[in-house]
Amino acid sequence: MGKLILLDARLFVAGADLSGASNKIEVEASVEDKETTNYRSGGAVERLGGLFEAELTGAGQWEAGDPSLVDDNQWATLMSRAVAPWTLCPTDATVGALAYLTAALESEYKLLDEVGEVAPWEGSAKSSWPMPRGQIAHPPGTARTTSGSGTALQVGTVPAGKHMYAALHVLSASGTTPSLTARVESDDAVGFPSATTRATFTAATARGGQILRVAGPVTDDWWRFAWTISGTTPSFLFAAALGIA
Amino acid sequence: MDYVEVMQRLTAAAATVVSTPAQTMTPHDWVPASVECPCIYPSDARIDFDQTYGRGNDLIVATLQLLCSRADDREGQRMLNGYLRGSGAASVKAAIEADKTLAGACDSLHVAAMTGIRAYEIGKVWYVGAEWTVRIIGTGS
Repeated sequence: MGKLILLDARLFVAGADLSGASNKIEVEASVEDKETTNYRSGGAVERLGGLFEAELTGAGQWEAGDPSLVDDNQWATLMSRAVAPWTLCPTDATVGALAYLTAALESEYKLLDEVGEVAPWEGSAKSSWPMPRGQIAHPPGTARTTSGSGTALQVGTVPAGKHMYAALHVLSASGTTPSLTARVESDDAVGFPSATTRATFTAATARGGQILRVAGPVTDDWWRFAWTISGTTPSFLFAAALGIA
Repeated sequence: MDYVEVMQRLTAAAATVVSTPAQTMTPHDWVPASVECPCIYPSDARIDFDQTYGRGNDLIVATLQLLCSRADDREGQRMLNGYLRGSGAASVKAAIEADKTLAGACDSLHVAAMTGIRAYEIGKVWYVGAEWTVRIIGTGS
């Protein structure tokens, strides 16, 4: 990916796609700086990397009146006082696109401005888990009405001490008693001849978000999302992302 | 948000003003080569694309120009004065903002300013008029 002008960045928070309401999407990641300088440091400061933390920020044009809109989403996320999945993409959310994902606690939400201005919003969240630099595993615009599986992605093996992180953003659900149970599968070959289910999300019957992680070691290097859908004329839109950290 | 549709509905909305004495306002969604007064049309516009990601939102800043007859200069100005008001039956601002979504053509709009109260020449004829700045936001097309 070369230099680019930001036009198609994506932001998913819990069960909402906030991309069209956002004109700023930002990730600020940091590692604590822990000094270990001693008399044998050769006259230079020595450091160890401490705890990781990321601050995620979105801002743009305020809308309200539906759970898919930014005010409903951000207010509910803030008031829940619970971590929610955040997934951010620099260039759209096609399968394989670069994605940063984490579980984050919404810590601040600002809205409204001076008379005559386009009503703005700004929200920020602080990470509560590591933040993998991963990939989109399922695109948000493809409706699913039957059970199936997604594209195989060679995300990589998971060493001991690391995890595979999986974020699921259910953006819409329709039909009679619709239910979507998504799972993360791995295999050692692209065709998934012997898929292993590594984790299963809680069944989703409405808009919402989940994030979970699978502890390593996992020697399989191919991964994909799969799903079971039930109900009468069910249809789901969902975005999913995978990454190792 | 389609620019042409927005201009059509914007000028049509402006033309619903009721002046005293009553005169029918002629709306144009193009710059006319000749005019029948009073009339209103877009004389300038700017579209700022990509106000949000993924073509989520555009901003149009349009200038609407209104012309009144200057056959009688004092009467022409008196007619124009009614249109300049911020509220009332003859107010261009009130007429446009009566439906801020222009029947679904945009998300919202604001008649932000009125300027340029002066004489305007169209062809070889002089008129008296003014300009309104309208900011319009809507989904990118």
